[in-house]
Amino acid sequence: MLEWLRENWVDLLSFILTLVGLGIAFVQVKKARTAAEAASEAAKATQEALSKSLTIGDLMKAIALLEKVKIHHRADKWEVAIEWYQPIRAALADARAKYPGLQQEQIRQINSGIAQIGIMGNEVEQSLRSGRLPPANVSGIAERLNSIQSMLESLVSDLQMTQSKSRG
Amino acid sequence: MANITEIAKLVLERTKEGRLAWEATADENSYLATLGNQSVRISRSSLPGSVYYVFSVLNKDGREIETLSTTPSNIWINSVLELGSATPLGTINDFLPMIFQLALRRAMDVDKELEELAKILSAR
Repeated sequence: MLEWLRENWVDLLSFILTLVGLGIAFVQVKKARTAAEAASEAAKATQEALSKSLTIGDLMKAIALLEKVKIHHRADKWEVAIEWYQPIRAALADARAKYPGLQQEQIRQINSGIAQIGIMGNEVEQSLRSGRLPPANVSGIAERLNSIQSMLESLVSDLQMTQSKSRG
Repeated sequence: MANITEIAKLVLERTKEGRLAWEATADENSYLATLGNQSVRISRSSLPGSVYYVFSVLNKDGREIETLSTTPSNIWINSVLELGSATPLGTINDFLPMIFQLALRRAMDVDKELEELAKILSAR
């Protein structure tokens, strides 16, 4: 055995050094991979937080526009109010598109808001064209606007809550 | 490929089963149910002496992409419908009015309202 060691110690040492080198390399690769994964996860989380913020911004814009429409309705300025229906729908469509993490029910609520505003726009448009203003169902329109606004406010609040939870 | 008549029949079935959430709209003769990216709408319109029903499919932007309507009829459909009965579905002239009646009942919570009224009346 000693004889063999004397003859092969160089090879043996080289073999041991190779093993140590491989071990170090393995640890370094693992560290780098963990760091890369952490960076990628952080980037993903930042992107998600950003897109969620953009969606919240669009929803808040839609709420502000709804408020504006309600003021015009109360003042019987239907021809002015109608100009704001399409921007509300556009804000809601933007809100839906910007954050892919929206849940199915949240998407359904936004789509329902878009459709409801569309129906409302048609109602007002028809009344406007036929010269029969205010529209027949003024209280129904006000009720729908309030219900869409409440739905959007609760959606914003839910999104803000999940955002502050993920920050915490 | 699905067509709008088949969709309307499925909507009637799901509505009977209570699996569609109908909402009132700004048009008091129109009800809306949103499912994912699409919505369906049922409306009742009138012409002098008659009524007709329109079933529409709306896309995710709320635009009407397909419609189906009954022929104007002078039959006041409420009196001839037996909601929830097991009779097979007939033509669109039969089932669109049924969708409308059921959607109205779901959206306006008619059963609950009647129950409450019955309680009040019984207590008097």
